[in-house]
Amino acid sequence: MKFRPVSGELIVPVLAIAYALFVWWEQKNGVYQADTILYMRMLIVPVALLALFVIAGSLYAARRNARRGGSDPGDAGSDSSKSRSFLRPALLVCAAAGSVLSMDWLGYLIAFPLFVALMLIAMGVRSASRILIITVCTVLVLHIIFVELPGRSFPSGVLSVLTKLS
Amino acid sequence: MMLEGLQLMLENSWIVPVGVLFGMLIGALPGLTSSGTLSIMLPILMVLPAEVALMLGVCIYAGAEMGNSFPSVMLNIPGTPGGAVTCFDGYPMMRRGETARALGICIMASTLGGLVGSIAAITLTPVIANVALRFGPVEICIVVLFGLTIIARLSSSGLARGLLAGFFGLLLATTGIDPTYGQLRGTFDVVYLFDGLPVVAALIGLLGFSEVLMHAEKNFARPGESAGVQSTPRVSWREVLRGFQDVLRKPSEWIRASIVGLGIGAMPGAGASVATFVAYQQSHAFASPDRKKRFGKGAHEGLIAADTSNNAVVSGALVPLLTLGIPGSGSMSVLLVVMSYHGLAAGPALFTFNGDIAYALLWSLCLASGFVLAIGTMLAWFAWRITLVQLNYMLPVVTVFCLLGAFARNGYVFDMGVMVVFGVLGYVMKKHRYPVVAMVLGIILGPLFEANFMRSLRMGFGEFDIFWQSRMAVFLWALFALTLAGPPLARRLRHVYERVAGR
Repeated sequence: MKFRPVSGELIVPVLAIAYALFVWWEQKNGVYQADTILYMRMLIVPVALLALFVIAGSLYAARRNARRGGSDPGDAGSDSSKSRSFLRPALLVCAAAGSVLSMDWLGYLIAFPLFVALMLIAMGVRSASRILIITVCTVLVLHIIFVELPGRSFPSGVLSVLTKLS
Repeated sequence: MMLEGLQLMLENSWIVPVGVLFGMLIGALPGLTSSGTLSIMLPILMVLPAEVALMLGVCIYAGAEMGNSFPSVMLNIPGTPGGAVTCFDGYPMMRRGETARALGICIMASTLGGLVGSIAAITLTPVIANVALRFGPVEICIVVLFGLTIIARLSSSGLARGLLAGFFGLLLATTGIDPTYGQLRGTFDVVYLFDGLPVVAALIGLLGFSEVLMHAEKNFARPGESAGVQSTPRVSWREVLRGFQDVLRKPSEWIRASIVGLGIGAMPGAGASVATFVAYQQSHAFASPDRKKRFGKGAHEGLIAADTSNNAVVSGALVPLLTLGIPGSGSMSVLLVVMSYHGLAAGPALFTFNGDIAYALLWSLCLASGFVLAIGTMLAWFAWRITLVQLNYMLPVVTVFCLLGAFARNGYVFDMGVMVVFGVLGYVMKKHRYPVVAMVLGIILGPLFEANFMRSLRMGFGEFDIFWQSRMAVFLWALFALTLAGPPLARRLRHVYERVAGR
């Protein structure tokens, strides 16, 4: 079964409508002051109307393009080139999300160098010495600027456990 | 107050060259915008004292607007959106072998643009602030709506998309505890959202991380290769000085472009990209028929107009931020966050309670213009080397700084996740032509809008009549209506006029 691809243009308005509906549902089921409800509805209504307008406009433009035999300008390019162009951003997002999720137990001194090294390899850097230098320098700079100078504490993860054990 | 500001600026003047140099390097790297860089630097700006942080932010912005001329002239790749017009005449000059002269023109034009802009801002800002002091909650509500509408109107993607992004931002800003009644809204029962949406994390995601994702899509060939530059251009000092003379001989060009840059910079949402196009068009309109033919082929006038207006915009953009608390661009939004973090009330009250800081900010722009000339001339010699830094080395490092920036404000790992989510949202928005700045503005101004809206309603005993009772409110509504209806009406009238004239 083959699905028709949905234009990326619709993601933002659909997201806006979904969030507006959630807020409206929350207002309906919770106990709120009349002023708050009024203010929220003053925002929900234009968001929903504008999102519907944008969706209608995008669908109309796509239909008109299809009739003329052209392609949607937002979705230009073949499927394979599109998937290839999305690969690196997707990888970056997944790696960033992974390092965030593992931050509490790995700690920033392990999670960030791992992230930088992996991403450098994913971005096509093949020189081991460069990867090492960039990774070490990045961690060193961030440790000095964000931890040593302002005295902020970052999640230290397993390292703090190991330090306590030793 | 003006002299106290000057004194405060002089005490912290060491930060000006640092900011200008850093901004120039950032601006010279194709793809890194000043707003993205400032958002990544938020944790550092929050650690520094208020006046130093704000001066640093403004000087980075000013430096970046000059630095973007290097890749525009040498590689035909604008460092920031504002540098696009510099390519029109800068790159043809480079192809003719006049690289140093073109860079000289850019440096001197930027210096003069910054200087004229900052002097005008120092003179005009207090006057506007005095008027803004008469603003009550009703007027502030209208001004916030006005700012959002102008940004939506000026975005190239259309009014509906701009307004959708702005109102969506306002709706997202309601997350957390209701400031009036203390009720929880839109928190999904997540404890970390009870204090509201982490604005810094959202800002870094929308402006900084989304930029990283946009660049991650591209192939990482050296920028010079894609621009077809075969040999590395060398720069001689004598030619740079000739460029300086070219600008000084044409005062009408840089004065006109400075006024255009200052005026458009003061309009929320317009920014350098609009100002440079308008200044270029103006320069073309005023040129003699002979000179008109040279535009786009290396005309000095075109380059002067683009670079002067580009830097005058910085001073102009500070005016609505300092006087009304309305940031006109992404960079100014970051500065507004820094101001609120340091407990400075942006808007008319700033001149009453922290006038020295406001003036120090404006004076630092004046000094930054001098450093643009000095540092720009020094950088011109090895500018081509800066422009060849490869992005694949930078993207992972910048991502780490984005994550840290999001974390540093509250110290929650959760905020890093929020940054990633908003980064993806910003990426999708940029890919499909939704103005990210409108959403940023909605998120930042949301609490201000809500607080003043509620206050107005209570003042008016729940009646909406209060929103058009004062003269100032009526005037602002009229201005608001004119902004919305003016351009389409003018287009329609022109269309009718052309049809009648055609008959």
